Amino acid sequence: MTDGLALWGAVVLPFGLLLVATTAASLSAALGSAAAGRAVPVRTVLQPVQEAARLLVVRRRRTQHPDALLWRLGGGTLFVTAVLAAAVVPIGDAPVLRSEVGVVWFNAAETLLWAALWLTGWGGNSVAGLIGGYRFLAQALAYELPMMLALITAALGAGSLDVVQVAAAQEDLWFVVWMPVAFVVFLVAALALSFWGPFSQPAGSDAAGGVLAELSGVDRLVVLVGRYAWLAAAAGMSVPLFLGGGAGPLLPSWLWWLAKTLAVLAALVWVRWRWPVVRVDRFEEIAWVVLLPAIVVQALVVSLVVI
Amino acid sequence: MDLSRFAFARPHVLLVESPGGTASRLALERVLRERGWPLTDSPADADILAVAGTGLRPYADRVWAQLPGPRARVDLAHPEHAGGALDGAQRALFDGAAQGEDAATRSGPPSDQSEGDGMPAGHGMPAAHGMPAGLDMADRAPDRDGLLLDVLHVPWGPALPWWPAGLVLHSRLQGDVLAEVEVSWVGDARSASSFWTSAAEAVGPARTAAAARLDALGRLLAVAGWEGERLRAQRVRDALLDGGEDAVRLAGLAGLQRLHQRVGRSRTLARMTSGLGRLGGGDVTARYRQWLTDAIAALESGADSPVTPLPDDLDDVLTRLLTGTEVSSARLVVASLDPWLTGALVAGAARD
Repeated sequence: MTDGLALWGAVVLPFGLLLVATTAASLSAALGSAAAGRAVPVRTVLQPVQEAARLLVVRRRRTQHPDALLWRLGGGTLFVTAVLAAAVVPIGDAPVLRSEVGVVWFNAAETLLWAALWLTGWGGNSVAGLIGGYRFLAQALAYELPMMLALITAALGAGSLDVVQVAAAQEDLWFVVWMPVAFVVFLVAALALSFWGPFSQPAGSDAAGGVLAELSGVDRLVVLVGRYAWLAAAAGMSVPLFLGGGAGPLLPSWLWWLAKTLAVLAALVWVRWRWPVVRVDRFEEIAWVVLLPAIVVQALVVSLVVI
Repeated sequence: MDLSRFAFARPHVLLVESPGGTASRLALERVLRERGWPLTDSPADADILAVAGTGLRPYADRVWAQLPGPRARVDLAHPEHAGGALDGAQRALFDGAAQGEDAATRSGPPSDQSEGDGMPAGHGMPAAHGMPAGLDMADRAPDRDGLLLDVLHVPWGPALPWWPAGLVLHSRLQGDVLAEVEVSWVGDARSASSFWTSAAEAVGPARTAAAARLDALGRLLAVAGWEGERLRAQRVRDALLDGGEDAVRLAGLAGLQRLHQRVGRSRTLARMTSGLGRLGGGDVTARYRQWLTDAIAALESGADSPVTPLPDDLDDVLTRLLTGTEVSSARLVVASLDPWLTGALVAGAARD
C-alpha cells in the first residue's frame, strides 16, 4: 500500500475527473436520443463537447442587482469541491491525497454544496433561482444525515476513516453484500447532492430551471461541469466504500476501480430517464421516515457485527 | 471548422404557445424531437425563441429581450413551415456578422430588463409597476406559518413553456408559496378547441380523443420532470395524428399501453401528485390516469371517449385550488387542468 500519488497526481486529477464526467454526459446524451426515438450514432459521444462549445459561444447574462461575486463563487465551488472530494478516492490502490480521515474529508467537501447551490440560486437575484436555492436547501436537509450515516457505516465496518483502509477491509467480502442499505442510501444521496434525475427539482422545469434559470454561457458551463463532476466523484467514492475498491482478478487495480466506477456512474445517469422528479417536500418525508431509520438500523447491525 | 456551426448544430429552443397556436406547437415539437434539438426551460439557456402562433407579441418580445445571444426567433403562423422556419433560425445563429450587429444594438449586456426584483426569467409580463426602471421593492408580510417573509408579485405566463396557451397567473409569492392568485387570459381561453375539432375531422374522433389526452399527459410529464416518458407520449400522439392505416391505430394502442404500464402505474409519480388539486372527487393523479384509460378505451372502441365535466367557472376553481400551494404543486395542478382550460377536452365532449 502506497501513500498518496506524487504531485503529478494532483495536476492530472481535475482532467481525469473531467474525462469521467464527460463520459457521464455522453451516456446521458445517448439515452436522451434513444428516448426521443432517434438513432444513436457514434458521434453522440461528442455531444457534451459540442454543448461546451455552444456555451462558450453564448454570451454571459446579467440580471438586475445580482450579487455577482457570491453568484460566481457558488457556481465555481461545485467543480472545486468535486476535485477535492475525488482527491481522497483511491484510484486502484492509492489516492491523490492519502488521509487518515479521508471519509470525513469527502463528507466535508460534499457539505460545501449547501453553500454552493444556495449561492448559485440566490446570487442572481431572480425568483426562479431563489426557488431553486430554497429547494436545494430543503433537499440537503433530507439527504445529508443519511449520507453521513452511510459513510460512517462503511468506516465502521473497516474500523478506519482512511478510504484506503476501508477498501482494504473488503478483501474477503465487499461491504455492499452485508451493508446494502448503506450502499443504496449513499447512491440516493449522491443523486440528491448532484441534483440529478429524480432529485433535480432544485433545477426543475416547473421553476424555469431553478438554480440554473439565470445562468448562460460560460457561467452555465461551469455549473453543469461541476454537477457532472460530482456525479463522477460520488460514483468513484462508492467503489472503495462498498465495492471492494480496486480488487479484482487479472486486470490492474486502477482498471478495476475505473470499470466499477463507470458501472455505478452509468446506473446513476440511467436513473434520470427512468423516474420522474421527486418533489422536495415529499422526499423530505421519505428521507426522515424511511431512509434515516433504515440507515440507523444498518449502522447498528454493522457495529454489532464488528464488536 | 467554423466554430459557430459546430456550437449551434443542436441549438436549444424555448417554445411557447400563443392562443390558437396548438397546430404550430405540435409541428414544432415534432420537428425538434426528430432533430434532437432540446427544449429548454428558461430564456438564459435558449438560442432560439419559438412562438407557436402569433397572439403573444408583447409578451414574447419581453422574453426575446432576455435571450443572451447569439439568438434567433421563430414566429410560426403556419404549422407546415415549422422545419423551414427552424432551419432559417439556425442559419441566423451561424451568421456571426448579423449576430454581432444584433448584440451591438442591445443596451449593455443581456439581462432580464423586463422585471423588477429579478422575477422568473421568461414569464413575459410587461412591467407596469410605475417604478423607475420597472424596479419593485419586495414587501414583507406574514406567511402561512405566521413568519415575516418577503412578498414578490410574480406573473406566471402567458409566455411560459408547458403552460396553457394564454393563461396568466398573477401571484403574490412568498418563498415558493403562492399566497394569492389572480387568473386572467390573453386571447381566447378555449383556443385549442378548434384545432382538436378539425383534427377529429381529419383522423377520426377516436384517434383525436387519444391524441388530445396524450398531449395533455406529455405536458404534465414535462412539468413533473419525466423527460423520457414525455417524449414517448408525444411520439405516440404524433403517430396518431398522422392519419394512415389501421396499423397506426394498433401501434398507437401498443404505445399507449406501454405508457399506461410505465406512467399510469408509476408509484413515484402517483406519490408526487396525489392529493393535489382535488376537484370533483379526483386529484391530479386521478386525472392523468383517467386520460390514459380514456385514450386506450377510445382506440379500442374506435369511438370518442366521454369527458368528465368540470365546473364552468374554472378560473375561480383555479384560484381556489392554487392559493396557498407551492410553485411545484401549482404547476402540476395547472397542467392537470390544461386540456379543460384550453378546450382540448371540452371540444371532445362537444363532438358527441
